[in-house]
Amino acid sequence: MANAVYVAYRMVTMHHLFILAVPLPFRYIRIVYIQQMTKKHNKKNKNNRKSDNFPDTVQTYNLIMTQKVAIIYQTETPPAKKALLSR
Amino acid sequence: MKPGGYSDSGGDIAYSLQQQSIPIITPVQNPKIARDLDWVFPDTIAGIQSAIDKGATIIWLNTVLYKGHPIEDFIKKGISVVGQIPEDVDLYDDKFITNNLLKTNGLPIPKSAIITRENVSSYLLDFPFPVVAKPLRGRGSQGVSVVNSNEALTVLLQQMFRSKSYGEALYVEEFLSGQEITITVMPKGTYTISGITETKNDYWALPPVKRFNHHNGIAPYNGTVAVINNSEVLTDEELQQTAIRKLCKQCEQAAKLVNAKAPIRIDCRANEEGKYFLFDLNMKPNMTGASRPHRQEQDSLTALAARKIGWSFDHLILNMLHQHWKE
Repeated sequence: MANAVYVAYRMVTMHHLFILAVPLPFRYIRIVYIQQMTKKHNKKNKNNRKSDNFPDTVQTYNLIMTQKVAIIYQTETPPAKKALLSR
Repeated sequence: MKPGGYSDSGGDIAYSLQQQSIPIITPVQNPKIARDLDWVFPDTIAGIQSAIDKGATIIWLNTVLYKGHPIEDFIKKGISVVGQIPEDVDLYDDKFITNNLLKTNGLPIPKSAIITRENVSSYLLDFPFPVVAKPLRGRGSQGVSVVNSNEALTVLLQQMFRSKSYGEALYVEEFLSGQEITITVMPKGTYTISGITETKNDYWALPPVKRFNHHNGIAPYNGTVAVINNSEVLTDEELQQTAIRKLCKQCEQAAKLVNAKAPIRIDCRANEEGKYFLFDLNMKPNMTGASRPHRQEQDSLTALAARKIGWSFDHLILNMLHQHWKE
């Protein structure tokens, strides 16, 4: 009987240990995840405070993600003006 | 041609975009802030192709366009651009054609005449002196003079013809002695103003800017006197005046007539009675701005106007970029 009680007791305590032990890695992962996200969030906010130019519209965000801009400058007098001067 | 071919404003625009995290393509890997040509490509076939080969998907046409300009072929092939339709710039760069178009559509234009080398000694004007003489295809106030008598005008016109700098025909118009203001008109599109994104379904005018400290009746070229020293946006009270509001509407109508795809700027002046006339339509307004550290005094008239609606030069440039178009 005593053995049976002991075995039952051990099973219950082991069960508790089991219940406590199993979620630990998950808890650890969750804590690390939250820490990382907080770090990322703070970094982003810090950047925003530093610059007014952070894209604040979807239109600008899309432009940044999809386009590249080059500017051209004038190298020649337009033909109409040239013709005017050469007459 | 303007020395540097607008590479100064090109540098301002490119630097502004770079500061706003917009991916830009430059001819050199690490452009030097003060070196204009590090930021811009030549408007030749090779120059444009080089920009595209490096990955450019939008070409900002900070150049004087015309029918047959190299960019036309690239537009036909589907490249996006910021700027006007090249053919239209060629057409409306001619003051006589543009003013006739505006006049035909009921917009107020100063009385004018074309004087050629042939009739320089025999012309007759149907408006009184003083008058303004200017090139048919001009740039800013270059070659523009106010003349007070017939004799002085004949001498001036003969000098201008002899100089061979202005061609065979010159434009003479009545001098308007009242206030000069200039109005930038933006094309329809989606804009962000004070953090709110809104769609403009028609052309819309930025607040007018008044010009002062004229030299002999003419606003000096911005390369001679920085516009921030002789120009300011109208006050809130002035902006509410009926004549000003009407003029803004007329400028918007003019922009529609020339089918503007990018900002245009129209110089206007009042006569003695305070009635305003549109006297010069610029298809490619100066677009310099206070972006690079050594050019903080280089805001253009359009940049000054934009500040009144809460736009910095960066905001102006970004909003202009959003109006890029393709065929």
